[in-house]
Amino acid sequence: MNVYVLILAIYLGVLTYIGWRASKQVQDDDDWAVAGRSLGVWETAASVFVTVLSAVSFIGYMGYYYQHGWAGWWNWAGTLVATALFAGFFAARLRKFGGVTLSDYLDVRYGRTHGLLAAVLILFSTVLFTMAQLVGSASIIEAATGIPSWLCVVIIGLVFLVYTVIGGMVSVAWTSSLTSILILGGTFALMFSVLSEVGGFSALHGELYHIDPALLDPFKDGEIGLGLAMSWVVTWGIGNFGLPQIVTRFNSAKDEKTASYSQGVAGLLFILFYLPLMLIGLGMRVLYPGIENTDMVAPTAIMELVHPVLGGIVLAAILGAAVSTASSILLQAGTVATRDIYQKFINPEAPSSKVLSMSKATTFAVGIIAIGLSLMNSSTVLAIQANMVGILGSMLAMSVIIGFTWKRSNSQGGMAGMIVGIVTAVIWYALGQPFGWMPILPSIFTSSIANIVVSLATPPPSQEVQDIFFENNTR
Amino acid sequence: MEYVEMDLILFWIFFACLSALPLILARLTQGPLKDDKKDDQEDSR
Repeated sequence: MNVYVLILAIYLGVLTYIGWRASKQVQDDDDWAVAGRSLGVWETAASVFVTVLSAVSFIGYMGYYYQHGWAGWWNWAGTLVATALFAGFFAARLRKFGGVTLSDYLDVRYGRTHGLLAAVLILFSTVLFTMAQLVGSASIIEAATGIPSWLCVVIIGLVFLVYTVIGGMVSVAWTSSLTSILILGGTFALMFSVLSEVGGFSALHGELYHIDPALLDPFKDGEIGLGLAMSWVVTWGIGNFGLPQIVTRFNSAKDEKTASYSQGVAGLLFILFYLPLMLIGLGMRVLYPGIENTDMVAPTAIMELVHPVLGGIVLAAILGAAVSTASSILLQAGTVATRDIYQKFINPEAPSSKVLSMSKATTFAVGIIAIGLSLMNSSTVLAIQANMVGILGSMLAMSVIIGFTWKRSNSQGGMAGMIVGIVTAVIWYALGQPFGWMPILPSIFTSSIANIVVSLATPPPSQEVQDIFFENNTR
Repeated sequence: MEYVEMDLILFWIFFACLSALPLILARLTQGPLKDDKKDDQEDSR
């Protein structure tokens, strides 16, 4: 049997076993959705770390560093900015608020319509995000093992669907811890292999200097301009606040201090991942300068440079990054559909057992739909999902940030900000993204202005809402 | 080459500071993590 297949099969087996063990810890819907709000610093940090990372982080970003040298670092600088903002302020506030979903927050801070609108969009996006992870990881495994892509989609999809459905957030937290170690171990091992092949750190940079000195320049000698650099920073620095699978991670932490410190640890995890990844990309530029399709940089490194066992571990790490992100997203589908739509609008008196079984059923249904869509491999669906991060971020990010920092922001301002944000993003896409800016960049400005202007022109929020978020902000 | 090496040293210092920033902010806003554990232990007693 192919070594890669064996290692991947072992990894998927371990994930399923963890899901089964985790399911024994799940007694009620709170255990399932937020792990009983019991996670420590490491588990919370690991779950954020692997939720942010995806197959794209490995494949796409490594190719980006191969192409742009050190200037490629701008594409993860924003993640560190978001992490710092969460650590310094927002993680503790989100945890103190004590909701379960992002819609919960919008519901209380701005109004039921805001929560419902967000819930519908989030539910729709979970299918697309899950699909992206499935398609991405399946194509890598197909390239490395020869197993047909459709079979990879079915096997990977069923494994993470099972462990997410039965174990919920407990399962996601445990598998995230394991996957974080695997990702860091795999990345470091690959980095050392590449560096030893190149001749060490100094030799790497000497060679890069000979290929093109601009590869060592933070802006690639002007090729990556300030506008594009800021676009990266803002997209992830602010856009992460609009991604429900990230902002809801803090609700599982046992207290505010844990939520905040988890982001301190996550910052270290990010740098421990991205710096080696950059060095691998740079090393590959020296070793294999002629790779035209930069998505092939990572598979080439795995298949050409390292022992098959190590290659299998790195492949498992890439698969882990994809399925961890997918399971975090899928968990959102169950909680949002059940708590934000069913429990709030259809059956507010539903008992915990009913909420739990509905959450599991919804998650399973969304997972099956995502697997089905992945098998269809529709280019239209793929195009929509590629823009979904920008759309969600454009609509929701500033509502979270302004809602926690400006007392005067009210229901009308919140709605104006959400609508103007998403409309700006759609127009920006339609215009072909002028100046190379990603749509979220103009959306942040327009949605902030709309939120502020409309809030000032209408009555302030009720004293009750102000007290929840600015005085005694516990529920 | 001197320019290159100096540039890289600045890079690494920059990255080190950036990676420590979230932890520093958590410490500044939340206080030390361990104190809480001691309090918990005292509470449980």
